[in-house]
Amino acid sequence: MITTIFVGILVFGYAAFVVGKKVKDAKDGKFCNCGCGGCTKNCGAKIPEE
Amino acid sequence: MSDQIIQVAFVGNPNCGKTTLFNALTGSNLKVANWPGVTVEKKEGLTDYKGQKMNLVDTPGIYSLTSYSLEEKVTRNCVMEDNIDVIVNVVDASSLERNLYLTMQLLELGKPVILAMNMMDIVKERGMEIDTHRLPEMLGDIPVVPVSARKRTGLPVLLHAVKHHYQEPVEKKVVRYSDELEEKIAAIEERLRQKEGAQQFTRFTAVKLLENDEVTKEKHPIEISDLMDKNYEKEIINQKYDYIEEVVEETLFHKGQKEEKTDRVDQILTHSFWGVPVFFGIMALVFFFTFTIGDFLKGYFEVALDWLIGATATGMEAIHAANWLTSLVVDGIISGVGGILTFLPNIFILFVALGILEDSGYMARVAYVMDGIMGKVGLSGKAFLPMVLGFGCTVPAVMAARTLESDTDRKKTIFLTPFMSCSARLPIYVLFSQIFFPNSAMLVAYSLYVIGLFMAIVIAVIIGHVTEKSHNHNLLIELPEYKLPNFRTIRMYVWDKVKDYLSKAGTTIFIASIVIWFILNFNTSGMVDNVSHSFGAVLGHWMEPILAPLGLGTWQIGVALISGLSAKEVVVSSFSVLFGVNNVNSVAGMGALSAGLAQYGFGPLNAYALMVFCLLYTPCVATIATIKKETNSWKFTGIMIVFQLLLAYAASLLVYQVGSLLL
Repeated sequence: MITTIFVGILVFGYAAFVVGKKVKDAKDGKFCNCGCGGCTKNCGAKIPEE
Repeated sequence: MSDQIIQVAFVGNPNCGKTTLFNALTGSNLKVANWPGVTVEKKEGLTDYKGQKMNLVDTPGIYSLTSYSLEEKVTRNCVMEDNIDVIVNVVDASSLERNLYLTMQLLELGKPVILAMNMMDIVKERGMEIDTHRLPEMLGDIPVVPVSARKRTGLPVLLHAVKHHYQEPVEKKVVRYSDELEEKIAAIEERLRQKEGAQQFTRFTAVKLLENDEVTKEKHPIEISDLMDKNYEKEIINQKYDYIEEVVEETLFHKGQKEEKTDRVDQILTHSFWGVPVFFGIMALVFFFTFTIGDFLKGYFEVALDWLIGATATGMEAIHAANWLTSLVVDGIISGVGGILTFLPNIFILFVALGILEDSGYMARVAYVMDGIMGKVGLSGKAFLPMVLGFGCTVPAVMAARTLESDTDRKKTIFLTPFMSCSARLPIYVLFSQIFFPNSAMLVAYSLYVIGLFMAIVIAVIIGHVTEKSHNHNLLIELPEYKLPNFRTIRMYVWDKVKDYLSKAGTTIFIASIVIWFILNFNTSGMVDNVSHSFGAVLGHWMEPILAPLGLGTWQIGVALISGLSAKEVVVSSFSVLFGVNNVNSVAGMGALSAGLAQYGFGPLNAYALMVFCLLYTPCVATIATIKKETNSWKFTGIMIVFQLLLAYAASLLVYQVGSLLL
């Protein structure tokens, strides 16, 4: 039972994270990665943004 | 050390290496290609030089600060309106004369300018020499830094120059026009100051007003009709070029040694008759390698996937996980995601081949070669470049349509781009052509790419007849010289695509696999024992009669096609989950899928109709969202979605019905 809950949390937790990120990216107008033009700010980001 | 972040704009002609330089300095991996017009939006990245932080802005390439197309406006606005401290004018040192026209305009702005002479390696290879002491003297004493973005030389010197000269505006008049022009410029400058007060870019604005520049006239509506006894644009351009000639004469030596190889190769590759067949031949070769080498490599992936499936099932059993969870992980996620990953070798080879064609300079020629055909359908060959990008991914291809000057041409190109078969459809072709056409799989897959191209041309003809005609379809495109593909550029290009594919497998396809597993295992009463009672079966059965005339009247196909809207690869992962096939790309997996489909009378003709449908139907959600963003019109986007759906239906119907009569 505990292992089922643990693996379930892992799978569905990751799924929720992915969906959340997709929704955030879509809101930011980002539909693909930097290489295909998805990002316009902090591309590469060699140093952290202040 | 300074806390201020210096804002640096990289400005230059198309295909002079701005993005390569930007990538080298920021550690970024923005798309670069050996043709003009790859960057269509400004991009920002941070870098640090000895404690001094800098925000680098990569801009779309322009030939002058006169803005016609969307991406030219982006650069002009960035340079003139954004808070840019210093302009790094990137020039292709091997074509100094052409590049210096923009330099002259940038110097007229009066902002701090640093000249980055890129491609110095090519200058050396050709035995040319540039006097880097005299050149800055003739350009208003701005810093001139020789660099090679590809070989990563001169980069620290460039950043050093930015750090130490970003507060030094160009104060000297570099181009001195004739007395008559200088008097008029001075008069306009005076009127500008009187009406608008002291401001930046006064001399540049005055020159632009004298050139009758529409954008400048709108922004600075001052009365100068008494000074405009004729159009001075040509005179101003000529006098700038006279000065450029002087600069080149004094600073460039041995300039006659131009590469002749390019001309010799172009006699074949861009031949007026052979150019098009050669293009189709090269694309056929790309698919030959994609299939042969890709298939050779995929065996390793299959073994790894088989091991993973076995190990996960055993592991889940060992930890006593619930049966439903084991089913979700093994039959849902690993079958769906893992099945897609086994196509990675084919995707890898496809992008290595496309990367070589792009970096060698051939892809830019495709626009020239296709110009005749595109002209006949009411578009310029330039519209073909975004379409070529569509062989990789439709999202950047739709964005690349910004390079077209007319809005009508841009929308036409956006409309046609999804017909170019993107790499996400490749797994569908690979799988079904290998199952149902084992002896001619490559030819079948290639035929789908040709059908996509053919459809784009037919649709362009139809659109040309029903929409307004754009006036100018003359192709003006700079053809880069042929060069040996750069290993680093190809590596970055391919890695970027592979990363994108892996990321899609771990996100979109992961979620889609869970959703499909759920709709196949549940209904309103909970988990079902028999898949035919599931949500998926209900949904699929509802679609059966609609898809039956296409030979696709099986409920699983309906579900797979709907799920394919999230990403086209999901069609394949859906088949894995729907038919309970764990390693769909293996010989055993293909056999199992083939047997599963055979129960419904699904044969080669049905498979071809399915592939044609997948080629033409509504693109993935990312593409739809990009089309909406780029056109800013739900109406246009909606029309496109419905049109593609109807076209896919009609084409598949034709294939299946005519095929049934003939076979």
